[in-house]
Amino acid sequence: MVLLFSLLAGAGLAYLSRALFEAEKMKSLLLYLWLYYWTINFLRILEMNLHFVHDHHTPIFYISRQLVLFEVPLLFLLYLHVFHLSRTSGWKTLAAVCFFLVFTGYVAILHFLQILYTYGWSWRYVLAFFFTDLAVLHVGDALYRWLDRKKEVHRHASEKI
Amino acid sequence: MLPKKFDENEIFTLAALAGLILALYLLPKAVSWKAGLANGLFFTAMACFADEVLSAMHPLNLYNTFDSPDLELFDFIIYIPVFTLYGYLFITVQRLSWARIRSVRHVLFYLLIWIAFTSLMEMMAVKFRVFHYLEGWDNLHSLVAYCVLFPIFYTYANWILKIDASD
Repeated sequence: MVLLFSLLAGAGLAYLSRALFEAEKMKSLLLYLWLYYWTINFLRILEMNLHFVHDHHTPIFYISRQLVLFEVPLLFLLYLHVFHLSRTSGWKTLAAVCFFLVFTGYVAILHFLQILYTYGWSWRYVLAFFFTDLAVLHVGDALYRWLDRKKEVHRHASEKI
Repeated sequence: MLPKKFDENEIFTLAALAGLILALYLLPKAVSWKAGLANGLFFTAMACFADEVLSAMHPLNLYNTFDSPDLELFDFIIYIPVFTLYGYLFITVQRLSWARIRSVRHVLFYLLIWIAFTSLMEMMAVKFRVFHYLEGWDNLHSLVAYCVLFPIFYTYANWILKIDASD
C-alpha cells in the first residue's frame, strides 16, 4: 500500500500535468525543478536540522519517499495552472483554499501510511510545508514572467532599431 | 544554519562561484536564459537527489558536506548559484561546440573532458573539506558516478537546446 499509493498518485499527477508540460514546456520544467529543489531541502531541514520528520528507512518507505518528492512539485504546478485560469481575486483565493484542502488530504494520507513519519505529529508541519512551497512557487512564477517580459521588451526594442 | 567557522571550505565555494561567474561573463551568450536555467536547475536537482540518496541519512550516509551533517547556509549556496551556474556553463559550452561535435567519438571525447574536469574539481573540493567522504566512498566512486551522470546531462542539454530552438 505504501508503494502503491505513491505510484498511483504519481501516475495520476503525471497524467494530469501532461497537457501543462506540452503547452508551456520550458516554464513548467523550470518551475518543476525550482520546486523540487525547495521541497527536498525543506524536508531535509525538518529532518536533519530540526529532527521533526523521520522516515523508516526500509527500502519500500525510502522509494516511496523519493516518489513523493517527485510528485509534490507536480501538485503545486497543477494548482498554479488553476490559479491562472481563475480571473478574479475571489476565484484565485478559492483556488488556493481548495488546493490547501487537497494538499492537507494528501499529506494526511502520507502520514496515515507512515511515508511521512514524524516524532509527535503536528499540523504545523503541513502549514509550514504548504506555505513555503506556495511562496516558492509564486516567487518562481513571478520571476519567470518578469524575466520573460524584460527579454521581450528588449527584443522589440532591438527589432525597431 | 550558519557555518560553525568561516574557513577553507566556505572560501573554496565562494572562489568556485566567482570563477563560474567570470567564465560565463567571458564566454559569448550562446543560449537563452530559459535554456541556461533549465539546464542549471537540472544540475541542482540532480545534486539534491544524489545528496538525498547517498549523503543525507541512514541507510546510505557515504559523505557529508561542510562543517556538519546538517544543512547549512553554504549547502544552499553550493546548490543554487554554484551547481546552477555549472549547468549553465555546461549548456553554453555544448551550444558553442555543437558544430564541432559530429561523431560518437567526438561526443565521448567531449564528455571525457567534462568528467575529468568535474572529478578534478571534486578532488579539490575534498581537499578543501567541502565534502567529507565517509567509509565506502572515494574519488573513484565519484568518477564512476560522473561517467553515468554526464551522458544524461549531455542528452538533457541537447533536448533543452532543441526545445529552445523551437520556442
